[in-house]
Amino acid sequence: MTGVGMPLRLRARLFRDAVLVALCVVALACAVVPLVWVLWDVVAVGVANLSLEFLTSLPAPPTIGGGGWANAIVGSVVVVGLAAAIGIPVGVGTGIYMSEYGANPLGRSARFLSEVMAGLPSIVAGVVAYGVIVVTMGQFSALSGGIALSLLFIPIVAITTQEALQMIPKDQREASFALGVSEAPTTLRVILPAAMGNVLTGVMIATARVVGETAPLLFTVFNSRYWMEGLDRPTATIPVNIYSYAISPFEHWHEQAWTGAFVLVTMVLTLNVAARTLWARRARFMAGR
Amino acid sequence: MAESMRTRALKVSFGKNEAVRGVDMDIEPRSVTAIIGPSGCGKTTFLRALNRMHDHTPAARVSGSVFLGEEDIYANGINPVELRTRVGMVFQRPNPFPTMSIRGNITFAPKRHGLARGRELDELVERVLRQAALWDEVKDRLDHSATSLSGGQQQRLCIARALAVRPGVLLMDEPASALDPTATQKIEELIYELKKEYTIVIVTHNMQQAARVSDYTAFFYIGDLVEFGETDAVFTNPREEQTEAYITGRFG
Repeated sequence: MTGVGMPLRLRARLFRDAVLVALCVVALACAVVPLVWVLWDVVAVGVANLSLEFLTSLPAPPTIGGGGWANAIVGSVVVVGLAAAIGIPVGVGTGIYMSEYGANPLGRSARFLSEVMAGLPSIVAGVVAYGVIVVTMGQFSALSGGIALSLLFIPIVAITTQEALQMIPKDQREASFALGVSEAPTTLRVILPAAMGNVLTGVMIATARVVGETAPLLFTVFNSRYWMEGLDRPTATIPVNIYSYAISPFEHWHEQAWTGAFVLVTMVLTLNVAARTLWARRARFMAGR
Repeated sequence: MAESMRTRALKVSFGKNEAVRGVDMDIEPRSVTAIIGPSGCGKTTFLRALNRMHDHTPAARVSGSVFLGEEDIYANGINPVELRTRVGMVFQRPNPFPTMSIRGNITFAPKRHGLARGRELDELVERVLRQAALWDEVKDRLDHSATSLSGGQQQRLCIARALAVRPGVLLMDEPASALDPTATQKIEELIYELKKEYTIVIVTHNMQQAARVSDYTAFFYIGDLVEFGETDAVFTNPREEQTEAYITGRFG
């Protein structure tokens, strides 16, 4: 069709289409540009000061310079590991209940509470863990931090697990029932494995969410300048270190805060890629390739 | 092995909708009984009452009796899970477990029921795959994913999987309706072989299929069993006018 013969109304419609697409592109740019900018800063400034010393040694006094965040890296891995160790079984279990047995008031309340908890301001989780665990134990500890983070971890995993299980077709359950297999093994051996890709995505989202949380850790693990001494002791973590180094008056510490942020982002990314790679083989098998 | 089944005043309803309205039927062992009728006539609902699949549908209510041999399967003390190892089922769409291998699909239930282990499992896999006429096509790739098979092969795998728990009765809900003609023919040949050892009840939309594979035919209409008899008689000389109208294609 040539432009000359094009009816006016069609031209107006095509113009509106073009405007809509343009608006979407502008919105996309507003979303992506700051993200790329932040990542670029973290990488550029962070990598500049990345060294073996940073990854392997303890913090040095600001007046001396040098030193590393090895204790905080270990602390973050342990605290987030604790959150996952609590959050994965509890979250997946809750999700299974809500999906497979949840057509009752208990199941519906669990879903409602999970949604509320998923929107819980993280500092509230910290205050709760402080009140319940830190006060009872009489000291800050890695354990209380892991529990505070698990409060944020559980609802994300529970909701994604429920939704992942609901996506598995009913005929898979019936196939198993028709073989005389009862409900529990059907859920654990047929439905959950088939939904595992999406459950794993939920676990990754939850991990990424909690690994950078700072507020709940301030109340719970607090901080330490030494290697971790035990789950019942205050512990250094990357996010709390970033916070305290960034507000310090020392230029050298500011640079280390950037490097810490870079290490944190890299850890999340590596974990994601590793999980995806491991999962890809399984997904290919399930797709029959 | 092959067992007979009888239904007496069998009714199934979903809320106010009565889908099966009091059916008496005697199903002979080592034979194929076809259930035909227009969509929504209750044939699938009837079939699913024979292995208590309705137990998993909260809205479904079943009354009357279904006997497997001399045992009422709806009596107190009958465990529906155990019952289904005696009355197996094959569904309309092939539904292999995608997370499991070809072999894993077959061994999944027998392992749980303690029917076989170790070497016995290998023998079981070969035996049921041969029975399902699938062995030669898959013997070199038993560890491949079940979803790597074609639709017709998947359906034969589902039949092999059902046979692996040694049922006496095999219920088939339109087992070939999602398959192409070649695969359909294979399934029909398979049914013909299987009836030597099993009691088979098959729901089908396809009247030629019913005529080809079955010994007895039941015609359902709006939840009632209108006519039931030997397939030859039902197709060549139906007693009821409705049956004749349906099989000659005047409605349906």
